[in-house]
Amino acid sequence: MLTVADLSVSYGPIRALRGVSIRVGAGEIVALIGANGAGKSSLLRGITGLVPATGRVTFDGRPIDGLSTPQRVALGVAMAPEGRQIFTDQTVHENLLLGGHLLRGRPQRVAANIDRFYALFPRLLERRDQIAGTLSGGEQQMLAIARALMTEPKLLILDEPSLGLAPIITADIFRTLVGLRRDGMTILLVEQMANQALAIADRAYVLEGGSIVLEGAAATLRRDPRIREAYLGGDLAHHAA
Amino acid sequence: MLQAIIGGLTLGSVYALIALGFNLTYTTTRTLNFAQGDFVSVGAFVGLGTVGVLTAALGADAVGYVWLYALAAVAAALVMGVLGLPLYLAAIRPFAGKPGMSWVVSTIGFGIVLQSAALSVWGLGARMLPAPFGDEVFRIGEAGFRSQELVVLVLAVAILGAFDVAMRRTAIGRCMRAVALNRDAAALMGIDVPRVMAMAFLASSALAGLSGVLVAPILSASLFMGVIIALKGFSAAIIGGLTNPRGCMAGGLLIGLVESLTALWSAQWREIMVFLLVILVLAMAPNGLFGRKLVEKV
Repeated sequence: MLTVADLSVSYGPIRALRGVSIRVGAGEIVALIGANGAGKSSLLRGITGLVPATGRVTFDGRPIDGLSTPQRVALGVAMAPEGRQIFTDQTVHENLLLGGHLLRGRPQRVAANIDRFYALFPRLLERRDQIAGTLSGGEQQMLAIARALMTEPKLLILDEPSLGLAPIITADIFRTLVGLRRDGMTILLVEQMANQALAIADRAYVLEGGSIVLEGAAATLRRDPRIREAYLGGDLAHHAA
Repeated sequence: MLQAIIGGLTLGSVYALIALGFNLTYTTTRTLNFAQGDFVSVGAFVGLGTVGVLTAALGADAVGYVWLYALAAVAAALVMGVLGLPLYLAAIRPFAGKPGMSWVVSTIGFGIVLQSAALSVWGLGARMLPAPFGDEVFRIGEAGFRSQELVVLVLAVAILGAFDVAMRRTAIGRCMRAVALNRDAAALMGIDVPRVMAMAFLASSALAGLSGVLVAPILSASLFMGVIIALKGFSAAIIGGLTNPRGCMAGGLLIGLVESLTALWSAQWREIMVFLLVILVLAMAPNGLFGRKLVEKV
């Protein structure tokens, strides 16, 4: 579904991403793990067109690297960005309506989608008219995911959905992702919480210093001593912090 | 006293329109149109020109002057609004979202081009645009005021109110607020961010053009009248808080009142008091009375 070939991203003189190639097949959950500053967000921003990148990005068989972000979203690439980035000064409901922007002119379909995601996240329905900035971290993440799903994507990209959330909430969110995949969604999941990500993923890539250093089946990577050393041990530190 | 308050609110509501324009472009693009004053002046002359052309074409008494004036106001808003697009494309788009303040010079430059073009058409002199309901002075008790003051006040408040509702209740308002808060997140919703920015410039320029036609019957119209109006509008936005549209409106009314009440005592002190107020507010609240700091994510 998504093929990224030799993608590089630079910020001024700094090369954040050095010729990365990944592939996400239809119906897969692919995890991308790596430490802070490994280039995970740069890769996602390159895929969604939020930063200029060199290299090729193909989605559903067509090149999308020349397209603007809204054009890529219209083709079915959605992202719940790092740090959620919900519209904190608007209500929960308005945030969801904004997710329906591309379907303007089809209000029934937007309304039906909103109902669907209120059913998926009943907490959001309870908070329907609350200003989004007053939500808890977990609720904000649910809103970020629901808002991305409102664009009716084929591929859902999530940038560190567990960031700053209690483990029990993270587990909740990850269960939702598994449910979405069961219903046919393709998911690219970026995580520092490597253990949980690998537990629900089919395949995974490990990013280090802007390059892919390891890739394979998630189950295999989970047993890989290099991964256990570098990332899975890190989970304990995360829980402690 | 009542007279001064009405006069102050009238001017203040015009400053509020200009301040709202600054708010629109600042929140969506983090830039300001320093040609706003020229858009006000040229807007007034587009209004004058419209009245002239229509009178010549239709004969002096074909339709009532009220309708001519209304058409002039619409024409000024349309023409200046449309001119906001090349302003955005030429003076803002190459620089928006990048570090540096090149847009300060580029917008001032655009204003100079606009003003010079208008000077070559209309010349240096001041002109009078007649008020749509005449220059009669109405009396309420001690106070006397002109019909145009009420026209300006009512129209400006109606427009400010409509903007306020539109920003809160309509899809386009939601998009503007989304772009204002977070451009990347807005783009991820499929919102065409540059288009929203262009619309902000269109709206802000249209407001400036309309303001020109509104004030022309009160002040006399010259191609230099816009500068001080835009400067007060800018001060209003700074006092009220550039990031808060309601703050900008309140700032406009406040400046108008201060100016007009000071004039009761001494006309020369008007400007001094206005800018003393700006300095005082900024010393106490650097983001304005109702503003907040915008953090630019790099």
